[in-house]
Amino acid sequence: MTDERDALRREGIGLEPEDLDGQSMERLSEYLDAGRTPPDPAIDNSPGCQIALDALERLRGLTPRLFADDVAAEPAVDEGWMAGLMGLIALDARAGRRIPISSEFGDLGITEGAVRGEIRAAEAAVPGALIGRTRLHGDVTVPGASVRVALDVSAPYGVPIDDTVGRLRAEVWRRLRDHTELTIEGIDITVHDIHLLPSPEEER
Amino acid sequence: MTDSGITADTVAADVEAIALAVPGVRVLYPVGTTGHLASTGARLLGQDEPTRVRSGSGGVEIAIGVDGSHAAPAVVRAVGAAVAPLLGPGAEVRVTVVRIER
Repeated sequence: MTDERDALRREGIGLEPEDLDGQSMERLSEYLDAGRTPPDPAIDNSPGCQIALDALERLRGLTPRLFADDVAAEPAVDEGWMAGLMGLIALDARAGRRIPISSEFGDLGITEGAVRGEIRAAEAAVPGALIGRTRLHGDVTVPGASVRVALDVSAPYGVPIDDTVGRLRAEVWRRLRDHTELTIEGIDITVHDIHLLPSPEEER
Repeated sequence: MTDSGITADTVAADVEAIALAVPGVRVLYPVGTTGHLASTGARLLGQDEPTRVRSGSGGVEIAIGVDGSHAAPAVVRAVGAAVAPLLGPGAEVRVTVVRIER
């Protein structure tokens, strides 16, 4: 993950605060801690920040379990991977390219950031799955052009990887079908990591 | 002020109201700049809220958040169809979905 972040920096895609409309991930995390109060218009008016907050909230729902000290002798999830994930959430939340939507009334579209946010949200439907980097390969700005989706994933230990990947692929497919007119050639999912989840007894 | 006596502000207010009335549209976000800059700019201008409808002779532009239970393409098309009749000949409506809301 660190290598990926370095590569992104080399490509000129910085991970600086301005990537989230002037807000750092730390600031967004604090805002979440405070229950999004007092309201901050700079965050509330930014779709990028809102997309990142969505992802942070899902992550928070999972991370206390992942980092529980008494869960197991093995590390639940690599902390470097988790730190990298925060950077990737920020990257994904950027508006990116504008993806056209056909219409007889005007110039309609959806941002790549909105689509990536929806792809990442698929992890909520697959317990334990954590989506890392997401990529849309192909010229999404051209109507009808073929696009491949690529995801890096950390899968939960104890669940057949085929099951996790299959459910994730189906969920991403459904969301892209519902919210875009992209011609999806395929969804490539690479499992980079396995993490432990505590049993219900351990969580108590 | 246009020949018909309709100001750009009036058009913007009408467009905002019509867009928000379309089923599936949850929110309008500031257009054309980041939320941070839009909010800062609005404060400098003494405004409570940043501009959510950019209008000009060429047409209007808005950015919407769509409820996740609705299909975004259908919602954005409905917004385009609802707003287009407000505009003069040759003017265009540009609508972008910037977030699927949950």
